[in-house]
Amino acid sequence: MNLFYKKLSALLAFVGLSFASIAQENMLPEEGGNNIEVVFGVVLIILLGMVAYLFYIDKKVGKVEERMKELNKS
Amino acid sequence: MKGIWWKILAVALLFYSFIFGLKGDIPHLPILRETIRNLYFHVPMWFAMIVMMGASMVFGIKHLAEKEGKKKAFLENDTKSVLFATSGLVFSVLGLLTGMLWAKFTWGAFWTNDPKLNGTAITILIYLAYFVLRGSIEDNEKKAQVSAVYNIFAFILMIVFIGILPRMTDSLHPGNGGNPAFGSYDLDNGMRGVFYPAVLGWILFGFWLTNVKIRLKRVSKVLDKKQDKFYESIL
Repeated sequence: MNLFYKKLSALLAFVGLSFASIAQENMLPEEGGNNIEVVFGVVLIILLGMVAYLFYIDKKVGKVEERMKELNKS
Repeated sequence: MKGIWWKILAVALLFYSFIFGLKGDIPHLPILRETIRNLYFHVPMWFAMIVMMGASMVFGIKHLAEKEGKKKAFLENDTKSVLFATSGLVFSVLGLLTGMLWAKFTWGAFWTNDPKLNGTAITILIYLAYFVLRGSIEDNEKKAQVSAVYNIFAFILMIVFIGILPRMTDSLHPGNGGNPAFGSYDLDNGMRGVFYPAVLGWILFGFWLTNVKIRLKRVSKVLDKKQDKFYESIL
């Protein structure tokens, strides 16, 4: 469980840094454009991964909770 | 999945703020230029942190107000309190990192002697001390009581260091030390339409993260108790 939180924290930190990197990449747009499209794609993939992972864990915990309720009833 | 609507809302708001935050129109201001987009990511971290720390304090107070009994013995509110504080700490670190990068490109250095930056660093240390304090007490009930009281002081100090002191002294941050806030001169309506959903999205995401963590903890506690009973029965 600790590992889960560590992974999620690392992911969040990575996303946070990605946000900031966008600002960095676009500091000098007049000097040969920027790679906003690439950064945008990468950030969206990270967000998608983060959300999918949280949904997955949420569903897993829900299943365990349901099973425990069933066991308590029986 | 329990109460899925607000989780979907959180995801929708985050995607909305990411897409429009990175691709939407922004006011082109000197010095800030494209870095103003960081407003959608840096500031919501602090909002989310304050809400998480506030929730942590509320559960701490609830624990203190609880009467002795089975519920208190299970330390449910204490568990919620500490897990909300953990989430708050994650957001504070993210807020600090995004802020440091923003500072590098607008103020010229990762760290300036700004009261808000120093206040944030102190706040993070105060909350780290909260975890050290918890780790130093063996007895669970005592640990919950002491840390709940400390939590109240920590939250008040956070408000003082982040919300009050920077406004009373010179600060580079907008809205502090006599500087006009973003909202009053350059945050146009287009930006507001992304900024507020981003704030709400990150707060909901924080609640979701903590909710999963609380449920995991609850399940592990029940399993630990069952395991203890099993060992007792065979010994």
